[in-house]
Amino acid sequence: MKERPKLGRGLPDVSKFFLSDASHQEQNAGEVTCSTFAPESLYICSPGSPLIQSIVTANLALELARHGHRVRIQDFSTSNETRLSTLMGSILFRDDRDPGKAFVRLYGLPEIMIEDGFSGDLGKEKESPHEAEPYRDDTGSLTLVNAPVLLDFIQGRAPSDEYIILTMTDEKSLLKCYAYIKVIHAHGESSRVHVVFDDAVNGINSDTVFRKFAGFINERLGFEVDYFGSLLHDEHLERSISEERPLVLFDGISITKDALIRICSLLLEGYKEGRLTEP
Amino acid sequence: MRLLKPVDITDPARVIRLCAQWIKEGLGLKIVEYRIGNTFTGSIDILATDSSKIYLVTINTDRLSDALLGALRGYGWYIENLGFLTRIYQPSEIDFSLPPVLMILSASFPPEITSILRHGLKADVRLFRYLILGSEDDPDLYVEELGGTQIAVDAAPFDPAALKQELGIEEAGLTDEEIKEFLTAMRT
Repeated sequence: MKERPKLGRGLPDVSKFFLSDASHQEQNAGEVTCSTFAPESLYICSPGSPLIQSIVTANLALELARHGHRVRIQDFSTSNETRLSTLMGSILFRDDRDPGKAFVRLYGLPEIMIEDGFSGDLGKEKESPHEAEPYRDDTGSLTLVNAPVLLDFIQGRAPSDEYIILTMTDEKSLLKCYAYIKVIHAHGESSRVHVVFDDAVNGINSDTVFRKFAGFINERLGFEVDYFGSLLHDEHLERSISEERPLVLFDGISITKDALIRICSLLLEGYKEGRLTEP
Repeated sequence: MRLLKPVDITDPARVIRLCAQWIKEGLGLKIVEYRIGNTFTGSIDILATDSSKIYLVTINTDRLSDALLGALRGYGWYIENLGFLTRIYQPSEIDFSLPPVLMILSASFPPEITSILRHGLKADVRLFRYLILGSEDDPDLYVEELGGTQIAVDAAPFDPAALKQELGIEEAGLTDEEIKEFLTAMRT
């Protein structure tokens, strides 16, 4: 008797994805039907919190995959707690033949590949960053870079197409964020920068803070940054960390999950508009 | 002998997780919830309890003044929403008839803080100073409860070079004037 194929790994997770509010057309796995622009790289950076940075990277990777994008993550985390393989531990698939890589293979979604940035070829790239082409591969994947919070790391790599920078809204954090944006802009003038406020309430206060912040950047550096809203923290975020399961897989109500999905939606809207082609 | 050096963990989420672990394992409290309330009306970083009290925990990872204000607003929110909280949590999880205690953890406190709070507040307050030692990859948390007098941490005068060093942004090439203009723009 012919053996029936087994249900795919992580089917319950994916069924929840398909019940979410994204349009069905956008959920056709494996095909990017909605984009007019296909960026190669997205650099995620949170100078104040590497943990939040890794959380955003993990969730964004899954959301992008849900919208049909092939995603490759270069993980340069320096501690176990912030490593993508930890935060995505419950859905991770490892290949013993290649210890520097891990995979997320959820039924119906393109595979997400996670590479340890400090091992193998990527480690070599770090030694001679200007000669490397770190974002391109032959699968057409979008590369998410979960980078160490170091200015010289940004300066030593090829400029990314886009950067998401997370910052808290106190003066010192904003100043640090400004310094990063200045370095990013000097490094690659065509790169787009999107700012997310970490754990600030959306509304008058954060809008005002962003207006001042973006106004200063525009006046001083002569370019515009986008605002992707605020990432509020709720109790489900804490649970997702301890359960090693990205929050976008949670099927209940969570303001943090909503914020993560909104960040991805805004990112994808930019691709639809094709605005990165003419920065 | 093992010498432990202080380590500066700048990631607030990690500091909160370390402190939460100490609250569970060091103080033996049961953590009922993380992050309840909201920033507009007051929030509590950790809601914990034991058999005799309810602890409204605030963990300061930046400015103590903000943390103190947050703790007081969180306390106010808790008192005003006690009826709501009693409805959504099971009695087996937490007994809201127990008296609440404000618990504040911070890396530093100003002098006479215990005296100021004792005279200024009717709520019970417990203050803990924490120190993170070891390495960033393998940190150790040392916590002590504040008594009557503590060492002061002086506010340093504005020094752009020191600020750049503190934030690790020396390589960004920000001028002193640029930093001053930035801070002025954000404050107006």
